[in-house]
Amino acid sequence: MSDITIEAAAPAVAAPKRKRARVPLAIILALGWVGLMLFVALAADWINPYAYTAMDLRNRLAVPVFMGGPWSHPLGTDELGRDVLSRLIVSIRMSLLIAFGATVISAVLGVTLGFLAAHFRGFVEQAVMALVDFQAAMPFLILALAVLAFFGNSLLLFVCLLGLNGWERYARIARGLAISAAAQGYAAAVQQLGASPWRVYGRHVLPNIASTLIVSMTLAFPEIILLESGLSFLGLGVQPPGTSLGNMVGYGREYLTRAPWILLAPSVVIVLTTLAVSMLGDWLRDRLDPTLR
Amino acid sequence: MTPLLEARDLVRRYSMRRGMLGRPVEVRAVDGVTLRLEAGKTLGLVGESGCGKSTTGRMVLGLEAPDEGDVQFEGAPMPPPGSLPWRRQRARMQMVYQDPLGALDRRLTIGAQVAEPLQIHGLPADDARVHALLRQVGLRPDQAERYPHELSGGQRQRSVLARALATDPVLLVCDEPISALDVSIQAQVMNLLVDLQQQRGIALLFISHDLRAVRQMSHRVAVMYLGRIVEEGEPDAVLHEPAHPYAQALVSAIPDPSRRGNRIVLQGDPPNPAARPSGCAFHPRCPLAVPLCAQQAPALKPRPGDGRMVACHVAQGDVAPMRKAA
Amino acid sequence: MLRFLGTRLARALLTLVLVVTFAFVVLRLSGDPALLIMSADAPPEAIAAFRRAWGLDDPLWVQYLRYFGAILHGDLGQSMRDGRSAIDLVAERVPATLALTIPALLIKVGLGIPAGVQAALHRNSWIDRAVMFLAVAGFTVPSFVLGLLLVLLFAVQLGWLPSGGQESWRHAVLPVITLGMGGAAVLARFTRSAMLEVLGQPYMRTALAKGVPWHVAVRRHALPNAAIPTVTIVGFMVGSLLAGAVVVESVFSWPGVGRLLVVAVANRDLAVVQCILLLVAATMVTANLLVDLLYGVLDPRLRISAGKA
Repeated sequence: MSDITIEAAAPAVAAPKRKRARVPLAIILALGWVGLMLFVALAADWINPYAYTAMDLRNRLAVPVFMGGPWSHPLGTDELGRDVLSRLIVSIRMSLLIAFGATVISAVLGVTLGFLAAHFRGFVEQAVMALVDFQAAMPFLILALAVLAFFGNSLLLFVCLLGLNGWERYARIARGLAISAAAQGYAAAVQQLGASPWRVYGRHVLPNIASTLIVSMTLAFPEIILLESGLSFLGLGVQPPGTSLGNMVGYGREYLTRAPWILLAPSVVIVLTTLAVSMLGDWLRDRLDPTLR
Repeated sequence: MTPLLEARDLVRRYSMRRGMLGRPVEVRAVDGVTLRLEAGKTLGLVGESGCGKSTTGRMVLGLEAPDEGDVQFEGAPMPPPGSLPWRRQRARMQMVYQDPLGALDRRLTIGAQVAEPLQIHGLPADDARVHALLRQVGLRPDQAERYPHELSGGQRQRSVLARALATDPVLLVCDEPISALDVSIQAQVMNLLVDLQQQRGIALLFISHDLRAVRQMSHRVAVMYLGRIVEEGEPDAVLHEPAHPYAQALVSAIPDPSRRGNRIVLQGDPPNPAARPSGCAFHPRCPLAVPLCAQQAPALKPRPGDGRMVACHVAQGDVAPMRKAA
Repeated sequence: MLRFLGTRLARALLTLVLVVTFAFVVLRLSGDPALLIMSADAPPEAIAAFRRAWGLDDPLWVQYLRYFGAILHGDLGQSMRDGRSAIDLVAERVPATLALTIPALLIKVGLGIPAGVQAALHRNSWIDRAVMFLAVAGFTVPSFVLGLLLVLLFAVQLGWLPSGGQESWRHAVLPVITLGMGGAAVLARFTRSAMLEVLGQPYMRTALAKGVPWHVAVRRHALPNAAIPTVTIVGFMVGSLLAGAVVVESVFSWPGVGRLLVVAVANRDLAVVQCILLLVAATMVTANLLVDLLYGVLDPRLRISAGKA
């Protein structure tokens, strides 16, 4: 009995000594891109050359600079003469905001349910796991579409709805790690000191599983961006006059032949952002939590 | 005088499944254990792993509710685990674990963890208090800033002890507190426990499979086999001249140059709580077993003559032993 | 084995019940059906009569049971737009969707699994790098972007293929490729990591140390073990044969179930949405059940422990 615990304890002692490996170039680029996107999202109001709804009817479908257009509209204009760069900046802010909000909601929801399952076991656990199975068994896009059909659309509802995507993964992780924390000892030991469940989960279990959760959130973030842009592309996400990346692609599609730049710019941003964030997620996972695969 | 702690006829059953869809099998981890502990004294609980001594410790602390029987602490029954009175009561009784690294939160400093019970129970948790506690268990105050993985095994166990002592408990349950430590450290931790008991008058329930440690620590000793206490008494009596054949086998397994050649080697399989033998659970391995042992479970009662508590038909003199070829 | 099947079947049914409950709850939460159908200024007596006629005054659980009963009888309501039965409307779109999703599934499996296996067997070679690059690209490029890029290239610039509609097989080429590529990328990535994990197992080392040739060890030990997790993903893909083409059908104006769903959602045609929801759930649950059965065949451990019970 005692030998096993010694063996189990030994690697844990060595774990915190991490090797400082060099950060690969691709990760630096990805970080740079994510940083740029965050800057654009935060500073949108100041760096916007035009108001994103301002129409310039004499300059409709203006060609972007790289195709020989004027510098007044670097990325060209759309069918109403609205500046594509300005719309892109506002769209980046909208899409990132939605994706952040939804990621946080789904993590909070999943972790809460996972902890409840781990704490109460028995019936509560069965109920949570049945919901997890249900969620994992249904294509989320279909569920989302059904809710949108029944409730109509508003930005708040849309964010909450996207927040329902992927909660089951956090719930699984949180439940598993909380149960093993209780079995391992430190959670049980603190409980035995007389701590309330709030203290046990908030001060001890949560910080101990935080790195795993952050990695999962980074891996889920691109998925939410893709989901948001997909629904907005279908015209069922962000509603005009609001705009998001998927929205721009959806409306730009009608001008595919005459003005492909309207949809190319947001497409490139979607692809680069999801690529950058998922590369960061993979890298973080390899560094912080090799068990998560 | 009412004892500090009194447990009567504790029973704890688990149901265990074999494989994914097997029929659940009932396992009696603890099967009718009665024990009492006076304030400021030490009761040693001995037995091989899986005999139910840890489960007994957890029930005595109220971490698990017994399926049958009851535990009285300071003359009052245990509140249900997790309830508010139960949480308040934690300040009066604490636990020391086998694996100190597992019992400590790796992300908090030792100081923060020693201060935690004080915060939980609304006591002043300033640095001076924490440093005093650390000094009491033989740690330096500057070690309050360390993380568990930066300390040695013995230092970690001292930290766990400091945390357990923070609220000035009257009862300490030590579940194999030294078996994960190096032999050289074991004696230090045991001496520390004895010193603390003398200074503070704490009652200890000392659970161990190490007979010598138990002999050194305890005022009374109980020997467990498959969920039952088979012998109980003064350490000198139980651990020098055991009455129960199982206790005799255990004691003879301690290497002792003066008793060369008398080692009793137990026959048969190690006990499996899922398939408990009929009658006396020890009879398949017992060198003295008679047919009655397979039919009737012996009760723990005073032996006629010297009054020692033992649960054995043969030791009680009810039947004559049948010596098998050893 | 029977018992194993029994629990799986029970869970499948539970999932279906949950979907129906979900639909019922969402339907009730979305507003008073009486007010939704009658105009707001309808006389109160008329609304009361409507409520009585449709049983809206009954306790909620009675309504729930009635709703459940109707679904069991295949009564899924009528489309609000043309009054046809929702189930007919959906059923006539199913062949068009399958015409896209089945060939796409073949591409996913036929391309994704071999690519993943090759990448894992030649780890860190150029094959591995190329497969991983394509796999990451397949995940990060959303299907509507890929679809539109294909249209831009093959329909607009080159003029080889039509950009939308459903007149001939040539119309199906671009949507099938769009669907297949994304799925193949996901499957390749997944198969690769499943294979890598299996290749690192001690039993592979043992087999090779015994002198079993590399290709035999891969065929006899690695592939069957890596197949177990991969089957789950393929099962999910089979389950979404009906639902997996929502975005792509919209990009290519393909008149399938997905397109119908998007239009129904935009028009809030609740009966049609609910019908598709249940249909998708049923397909998904059936596929999962098949996967569980396959597990029983692929994983002897499950067979034995189930057989003992």
